[in-house]
Amino acid sequence: MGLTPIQHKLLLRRKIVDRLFVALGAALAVFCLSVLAMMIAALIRDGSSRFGWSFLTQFPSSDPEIAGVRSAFVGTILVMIVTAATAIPLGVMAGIYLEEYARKNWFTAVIEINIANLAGVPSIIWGLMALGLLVQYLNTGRSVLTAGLTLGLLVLPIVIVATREAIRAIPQAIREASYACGATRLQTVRYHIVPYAMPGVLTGCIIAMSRAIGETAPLVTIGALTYVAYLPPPPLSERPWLLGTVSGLTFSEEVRTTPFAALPPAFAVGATRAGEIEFDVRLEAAGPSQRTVVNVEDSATLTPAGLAEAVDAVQGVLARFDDDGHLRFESELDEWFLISRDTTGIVEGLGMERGGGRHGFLDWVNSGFTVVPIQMYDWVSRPEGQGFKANAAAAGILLVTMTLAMNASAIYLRNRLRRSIRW
Amino acid sequence: MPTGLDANNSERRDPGAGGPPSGGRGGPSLRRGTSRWGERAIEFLLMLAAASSVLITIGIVAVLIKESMAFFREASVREFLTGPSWAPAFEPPAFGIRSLVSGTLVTTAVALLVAIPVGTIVSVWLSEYAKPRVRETVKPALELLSAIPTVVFGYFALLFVTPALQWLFARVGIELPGFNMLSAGLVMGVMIVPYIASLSEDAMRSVPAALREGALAMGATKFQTAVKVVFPAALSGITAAYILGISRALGETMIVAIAAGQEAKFTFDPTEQAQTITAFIVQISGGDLPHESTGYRSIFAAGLTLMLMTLAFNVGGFLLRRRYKETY
Amino acid sequence: MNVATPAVDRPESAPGSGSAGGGPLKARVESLNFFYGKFQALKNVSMTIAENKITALIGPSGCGKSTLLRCFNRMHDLVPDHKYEGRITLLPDGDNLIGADIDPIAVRMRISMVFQKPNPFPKSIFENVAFGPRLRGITRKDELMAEVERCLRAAALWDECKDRLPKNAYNLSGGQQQRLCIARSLASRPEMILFDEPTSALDPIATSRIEELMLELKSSVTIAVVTHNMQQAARVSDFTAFMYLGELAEFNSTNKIFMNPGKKLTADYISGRFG
Repeated sequence: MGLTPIQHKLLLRRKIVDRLFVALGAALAVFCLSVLAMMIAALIRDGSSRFGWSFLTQFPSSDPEIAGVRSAFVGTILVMIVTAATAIPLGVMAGIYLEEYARKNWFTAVIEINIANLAGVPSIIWGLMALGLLVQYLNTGRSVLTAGLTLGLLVLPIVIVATREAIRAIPQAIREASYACGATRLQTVRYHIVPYAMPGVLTGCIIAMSRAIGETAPLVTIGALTYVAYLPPPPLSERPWLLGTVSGLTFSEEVRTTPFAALPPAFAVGATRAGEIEFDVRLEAAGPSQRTVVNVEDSATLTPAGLAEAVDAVQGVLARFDDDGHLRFESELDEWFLISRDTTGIVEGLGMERGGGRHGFLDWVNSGFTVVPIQMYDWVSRPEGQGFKANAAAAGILLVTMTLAMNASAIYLRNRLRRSIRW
Repeated sequence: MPTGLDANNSERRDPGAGGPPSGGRGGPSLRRGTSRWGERAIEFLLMLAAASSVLITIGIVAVLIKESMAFFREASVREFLTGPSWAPAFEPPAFGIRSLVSGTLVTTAVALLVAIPVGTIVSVWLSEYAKPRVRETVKPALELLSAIPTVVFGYFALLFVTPALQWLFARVGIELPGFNMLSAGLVMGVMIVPYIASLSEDAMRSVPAALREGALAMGATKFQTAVKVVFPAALSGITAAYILGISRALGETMIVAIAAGQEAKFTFDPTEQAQTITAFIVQISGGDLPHESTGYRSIFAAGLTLMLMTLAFNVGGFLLRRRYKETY
Repeated sequence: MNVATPAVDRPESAPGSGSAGGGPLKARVESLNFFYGKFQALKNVSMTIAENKITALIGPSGCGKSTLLRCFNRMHDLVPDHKYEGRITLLPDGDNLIGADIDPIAVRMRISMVFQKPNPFPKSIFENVAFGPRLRGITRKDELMAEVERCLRAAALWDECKDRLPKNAYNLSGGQQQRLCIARSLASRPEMILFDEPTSALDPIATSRIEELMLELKSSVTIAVVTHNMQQAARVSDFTAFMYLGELAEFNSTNKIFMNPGKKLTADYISGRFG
């Protein structure tokens, strides 16, 4: 070839560098993928002992052997429904507007910059916004609705971008043909743009939903509960509980705005049965039922002190005050009375009303809830001695299964798409 | 001669076109009739949907500023910026944010020390070397990595990486605490690699083949072409990828909340435990403080700080990109 | 090159007088100017379109023939930053097609277009042709079917397609797709069809079928066709307009333009000296 020995050596060295680089690149890629594999393997190793049908159908509990994700799983699905109902219509409509209607002016530029910005907002900031705006200002509470709205807005940019890309893929010739037939812009959008973009939009929606499933930080921030041992009420289901309103109790402003988990049990609703006082502290419509049974020898021990002790044994009294300052609660107990620690004993003579009936169609939307990633976070955060590691891992298996299934189907859809309509 | 005078024409639902053809016309009237209000209404609705993004941004900014202002009525800005410790739940509370900022910066730095080199090398390999078949498999697989929820990464960091690191460090005589920024940062880095790799690869692939061919024709190896020609040409897009990675790392919550600890400490030693801004927000909002208290409101001030940090990096990145923008 | 004014030769045609070779007119273009942003694409064009005849627009690339064609059905409205000036009077209505008070949708219902590259919708053959009637409010299956059959027959496509109406239009050959587009354009019962280089993407056999079709259709529809192919203009059209750099250089009956062009520019183009 006519190279001098020095040139030959340099060339060889460059070629070696080249080869080394390929090896390095491939090795690093393999490394990352092996981390993926290790994570999944770790979850399976740690969680397969707990994962199973009972895990999916049991409520959480302080006993790791029986604690399950029933409420979390249902909560995830319900929150996803609200998320989809928020993000998909809003995102698709915005995408259609930006691609088919918007003129190139400053207004459009502002919108586009905004969408790009929103895509980069850290998820915890979404939680703060939801806290300030929805929970506190609009008073939607710590409910499925708030969670769904928050996540829906969080994934909105994903849906918008997917919609725009799907619409952009439609050749201009098709639009021209439609207009040349005498169609208006809306008719073109309705009969051509939307149908042809649908598969791409669908893929984008699946990706958006899979992102939303795994989001934990915003939901913790809005105060999603970690210990939820009930399910949001299905539409039109019967209210098995009596609904009562208590009036005449005064509570300080501080007590009223404290998150319930911290409210010291100032009172409880209880009933006596032989030998035990049963407290049903489900003091919020569709709130968690935290029944605690405290044994007492006989009714003679219903002294104020004894009652005070009994009340202290109750964990987490939940209070919800309506606009008139009344305390709303539900109770399954037939005969009951109010016990208040602040007074000398049984509080009587308070105004009580009983209600009843059926849950509304959308009551579940306003209900407290939890989701699988929060449940996992809760379990992971407990000290190892408590034995919840397997539960956390099992929850992780569930979570990973859901997200990978959705992502894989989106990838599959995208590949199917490339083969179907060849423009 | 076909006339448009079919009865069909007047069946059009909207009142715009059609209308009774008058004498001397070849077809239905061409005049604009009553404007198609149905169409206008739908266009308006669509516009609202798009404009909602602006409202959302305003909402975020408004909430952060309003609550932060309420916070700064109680706590002093001076202490916030320069105070030595962060203890909002104590009596009296201490509101010096630098511990949280240091926690955030250290974990981010560790993550980027992993993500940027690994992500860049993998992207160059994917874009310049890997065969199309390989690329078609590896790229989606990396996307799957980034699709895993961050709680799972947190679990992995706490219960797998930390013990492994502890074992490793023990062999050199260092005791690594159960919660530390190193584990969290490393795992966070791996999580961010797909973002950087994917975006950088896109940027490099859109460099025209002509540039590559020019270099290769002069006898350069692929490596030299990649480093000296393609990478600089794609620098704008690659910088955007890095900025995205930085934003992601700054804003990450669950991995650090689970694995890095919940104790705010002003330290730059990654082997120590610390709390990031994000982990703090999660801790307080899941906890006991009453909503009207200053301690609670501090999460908004912390969030505002985080947003400003992210904004600073984004603007810096934007300016950098403008400098390096290539037009070809 | 002497292209000073948009000269229109008058011996046999008198655009201003409304008789091109003696027949009725469908449209009259008067002092038409058209701007894309700052760029003036059409300069002071005046000509006539004879009813039930084929008028060809020829000229080198960039001369504005497609631009002129697209003014007739207001296709430029789809692009931002456009401006029409002048008149295109549609007869017998007397309305100015490019007037601000005219609804472009209504115009397109009466004036259809067939494009250079066949662009059927990715739907069934039936749905492609039925789109126009559906827009006009026809929803009954039997009425739609009747319209579809009428149009496919007029486009000489019925026999080939009657058994596969539900099949996707993309399975048709290029020539068939273009005839499908013609059928689609017939569905709104237009008075005028605009053809924008309809055969430049087709092979010679498909091309001649389309040309035959145009000749058949002209008895019921007025046709204007832009073509790069001069022989095609000579074969098919009754009148020819030669355009150059946005101006109408010469307009006359096809015979005259090709046999005895009034201008040297025209003669040079026709004989291939430039183009």
